[in-house]
Amino acid sequence: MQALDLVVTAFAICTPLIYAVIGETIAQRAGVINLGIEGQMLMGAFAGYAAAFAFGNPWLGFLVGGVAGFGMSALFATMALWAGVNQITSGLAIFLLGSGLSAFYGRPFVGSNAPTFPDLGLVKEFNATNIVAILLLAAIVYIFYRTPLGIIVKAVGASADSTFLAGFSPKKIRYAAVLTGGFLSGLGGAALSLGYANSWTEGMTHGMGWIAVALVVVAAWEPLYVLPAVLIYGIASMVALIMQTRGIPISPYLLQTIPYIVALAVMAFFASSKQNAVPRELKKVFAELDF
Amino acid sequence: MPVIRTFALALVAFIALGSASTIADTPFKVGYIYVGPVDDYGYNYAQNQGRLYVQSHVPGVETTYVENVPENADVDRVMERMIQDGYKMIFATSYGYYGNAKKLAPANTGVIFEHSGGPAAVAPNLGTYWSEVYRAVYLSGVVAGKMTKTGKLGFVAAHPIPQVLNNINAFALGAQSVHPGAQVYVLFTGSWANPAQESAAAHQLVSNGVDVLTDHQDNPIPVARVAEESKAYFVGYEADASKFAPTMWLTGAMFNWGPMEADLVKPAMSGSFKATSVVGNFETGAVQLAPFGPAVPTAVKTMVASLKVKYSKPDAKVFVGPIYDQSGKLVAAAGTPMKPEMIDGMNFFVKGVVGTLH
Repeated sequence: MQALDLVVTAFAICTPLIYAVIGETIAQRAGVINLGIEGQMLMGAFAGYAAAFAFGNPWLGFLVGGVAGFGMSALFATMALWAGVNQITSGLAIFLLGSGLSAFYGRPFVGSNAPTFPDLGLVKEFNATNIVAILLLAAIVYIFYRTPLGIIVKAVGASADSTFLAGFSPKKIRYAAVLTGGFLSGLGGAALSLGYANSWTEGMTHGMGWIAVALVVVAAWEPLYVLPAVLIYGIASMVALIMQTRGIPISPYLLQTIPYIVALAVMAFFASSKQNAVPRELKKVFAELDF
Repeated sequence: MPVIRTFALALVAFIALGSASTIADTPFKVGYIYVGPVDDYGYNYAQNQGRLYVQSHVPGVETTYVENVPENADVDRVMERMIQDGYKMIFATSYGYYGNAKKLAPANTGVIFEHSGGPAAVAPNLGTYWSEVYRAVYLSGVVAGKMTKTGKLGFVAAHPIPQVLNNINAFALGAQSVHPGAQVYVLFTGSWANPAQESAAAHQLVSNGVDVLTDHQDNPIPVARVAEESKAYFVGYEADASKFAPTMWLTGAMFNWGPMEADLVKPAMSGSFKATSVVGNFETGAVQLAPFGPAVPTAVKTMVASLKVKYSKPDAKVFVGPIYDQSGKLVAAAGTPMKPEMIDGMNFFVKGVVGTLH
């Protein structure tokens, strides 16, 4: 029972990550690495909170959060896919821009009392954003493994040339994948400010977007493994908290490194078996950097 | 993250100081540096209220602030920029700014530095100011002790530094004074502002059976909202955040920096400034207790009101023996007040606190 409690709580904590990881997985499977997630999540968190405050409705805020993430990813797509700027550089630019813009325009909303998603009273502290995450994840897993659309996205990431020869436009599919990912990471940000933390402060994601990039690798680029990968991280975070409440004589600073160590360990453990999992088109992104 | 912080900071400093320096008058310029946003309903909010008080109560003063300055070398740059722009007094309001103030003070003798909470006034132009806010925290602990049914209280704290430990221990002693055996569960988040981590900690405390939550973070909103939703009482800190937990709000310890800072600025303007370590309390008005929430019964209010009179006297000590540490070792004998240096450098939990320090 306690173990189940732990998993449920870990899921609640990590819901914003689920949105972001699944979004980034879609983009990377299409052969695009978008390092701007942290910036997209911050924009989603800020815009979502601000819109909920303005309209008095968390659902509307949640949607606006998604749109903000979508907008940021559109900017990324313009740079990386249309103008041909290196993806790594474009992603970092989006991260910096999102952090700066959200901090600047978010100032009036620090300490404001926006309506957020109430606990549903079903399990633990579950609210609507947790339920939507489960539904979205299920839908995307289905699309990925059971529909032609999923196959096409995977094909573009494996070989854009072959997909092109088969009569599809790799570029259009990449745009779609990046924008979907952006929308999802924006929702993730809004799930953080409106669902879990119930507030907005500058830089509130505290590196969640970067964790999301790492968890895509932990999940071996498979949407099916997103949930277990995120849960491993979430449970490790919970264990760190629980160990503190038990008065275990380890410095809280050391305990806070547990989730990162666990994520690293999982990656290291599966590193050799994952060589084949990397979408081949992604390797080209890094080949570009090889002067 | 430090990279963007630096960029954002440079931009803010540029705009804030740039626009300030175009004013042609020669007012006495006072600069404030904050570690977080001034609207956080917590520490920085309280500090900024102090600045606004100084601005409106001391004639001839012009104040400016730079917020969100991380506790690293960025502080030096902000201070240097202020000095270049003719600022005559700098309030370094975050604990971690002490080293920066100490470093810059000797080379800039024409500028007066005031640091919040620093250990000592070590230069003729570097003073420190703080308030015995733990007296108010003790009283809020009394309220918490009266209201708890489970005898378990939860404390979401940022870092294990003396000021935070003072508050945790004062809260525990206050609660235990009316609820013997009350326990305070402490969770450190490792950050002054990480709302997600604060929410997670608050939820975790509630699931441990805690029915009163309090915090020592820059921003009380996440913990307040978890308290309201989980039907756990909430004791605030630093500012009145009752609107975020309207039914569960009990009370809270608050800073009132304004009059204290005005008393530091005035001698600085007239040239009679002497660097000291000022400590305010209930009597000087630097410490206050926030208004009670609807859940607090009249009997408790009356009791706390009379305790407040008692603890307004500087010789009525909060940390007075017998006090045992977490392991049961006697740290202050019965009737003996704890030594001031032990309070200023507090590095232990009192008995009944559940948590880990080192």
